[in-house]
Amino acid sequence: MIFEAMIADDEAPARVELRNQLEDTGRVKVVAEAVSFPEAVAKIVRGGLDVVFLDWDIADPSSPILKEALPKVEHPPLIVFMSAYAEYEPEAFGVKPLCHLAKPTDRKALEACIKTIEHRHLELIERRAR
Amino acid sequence: MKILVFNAGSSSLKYKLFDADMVMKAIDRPVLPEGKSLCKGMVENIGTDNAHFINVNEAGKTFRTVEAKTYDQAMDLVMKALTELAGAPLEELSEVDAIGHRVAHGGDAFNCSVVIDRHVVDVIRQYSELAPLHNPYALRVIERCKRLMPRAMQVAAFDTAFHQTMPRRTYIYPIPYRYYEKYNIRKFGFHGISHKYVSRRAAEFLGEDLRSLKMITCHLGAGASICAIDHGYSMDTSMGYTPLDGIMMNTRSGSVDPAIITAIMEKEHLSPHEMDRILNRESGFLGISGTSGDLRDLKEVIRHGDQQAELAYDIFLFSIRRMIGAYAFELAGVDAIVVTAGVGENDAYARRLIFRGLEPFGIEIDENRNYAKDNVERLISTDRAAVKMLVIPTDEEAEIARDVELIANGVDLSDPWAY
Repeated sequence: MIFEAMIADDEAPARVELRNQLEDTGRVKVVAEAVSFPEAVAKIVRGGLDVVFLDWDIADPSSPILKEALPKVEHPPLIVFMSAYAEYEPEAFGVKPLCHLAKPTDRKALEACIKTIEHRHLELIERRAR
Repeated sequence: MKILVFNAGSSSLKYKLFDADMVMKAIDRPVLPEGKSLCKGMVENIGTDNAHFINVNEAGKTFRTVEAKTYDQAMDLVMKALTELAGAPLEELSEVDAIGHRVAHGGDAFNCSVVIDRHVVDVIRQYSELAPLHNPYALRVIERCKRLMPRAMQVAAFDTAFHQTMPRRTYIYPIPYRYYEKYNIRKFGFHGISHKYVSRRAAEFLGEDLRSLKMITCHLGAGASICAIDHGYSMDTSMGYTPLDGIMMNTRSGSVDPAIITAIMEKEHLSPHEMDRILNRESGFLGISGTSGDLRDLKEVIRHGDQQAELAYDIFLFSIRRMIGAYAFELAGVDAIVVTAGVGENDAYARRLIFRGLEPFGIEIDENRNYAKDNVERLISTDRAAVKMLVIPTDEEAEIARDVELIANGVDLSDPWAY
């Protein structure tokens, strides 16, 4: 299956690069972009996303807005955090990220991440079927 | 359902009575248009010899000088206006179903309007120190309403609540972090009820989803603040720990180099209390012009060539322009700029000066629209301008009544996606 994704990053070149990398895999289609955290949250609530690639620098771990928004979506997207720095606190949002990608992202790491997405996605589908 | 809204300050008490059934049948369009109130009015200059009372109801407008030496007397006048005055909308106070109170400071304890219980009263009392001209008076009105209308639900709407979505990087001050930990010294922001109201109305006016817009809202009254709103969330605002921060105001300085404060205190041998009075009561328009803190007076003397008054006006407009510019960068772009309150709604010349020469940033005012006299919600930018410029008259009481109505309908306001 092809995943519908959003890239949330305030840096335009970073969005372009990740979009190309993702679409090159043939397994991810980027259907939305966001340049700020509130915009990303608003678009998540609108629904229809399987996965969100969220830049750690635009996200605000002290803010409750993502945590508040996720339960509003019937099928919340999987969240992948991306950061250029090492000081990254998983679960700081009270939201468990699926995986973490370092920026800039190399092909191998991205492949591994997409595999994780696929696994998790299948699990979710099975759970819903049950 | 009848909803009574109070806005209590140290020297004034405003009130407005709404019939919610008349205007809010559907929850998906819970808007109270102006003019739908059954009765509104205020007592001004409470505690002075010059107290007066204004009331507008079905029978017309009343304006008279009154005896209101104490706050209790002012409250008595209001209760009488609701039930006894010619054209009074109620026979008995017990007809009031719910009461909304504007509360200036709720700190970081509330991110939405709440039903008042003992805990809420305690928090309002706790923040009285930071809002001495508002919180204690709101509490007095709450107490009085509880005695007079024991069956009515009482709701507190906080000026600070809307700004609770600000990220840490905007609400923490670059002073030793221990002061945040020890005294909760942080940016709270104010005028949240107004910023929230005008941003929602602006989106409705444009026919867009509030959750798809980047907006800068400018509340330019006697107190003035600007807010950066990203997809419906307040991300930054010009007032801070107290309403003294930000842009210049009528008698308030707004932001100044903090070293100036200690320098003046030292040179003039002033106590913190005296310095506080200078920054809050003797600065701003009044401080620069030396004549008045009221912009309407200043414009009159500017016409007669008063250069100090002109300088005050200039500093004010420029401080607004600077702040809007900063927020446009913070938001990485802006779809709409909204102006509201006294100056924002009524001063076309100020609007013209604040936004002149900003065409490179997609800001262009249509002067015919800008100078149109009608004080209604309207677009003032040119059709080709990328940034929509709007004048939206604020209505904090209507926003509070809307919250009260939503709570009465069982909506969880703490969940921003529930309404």
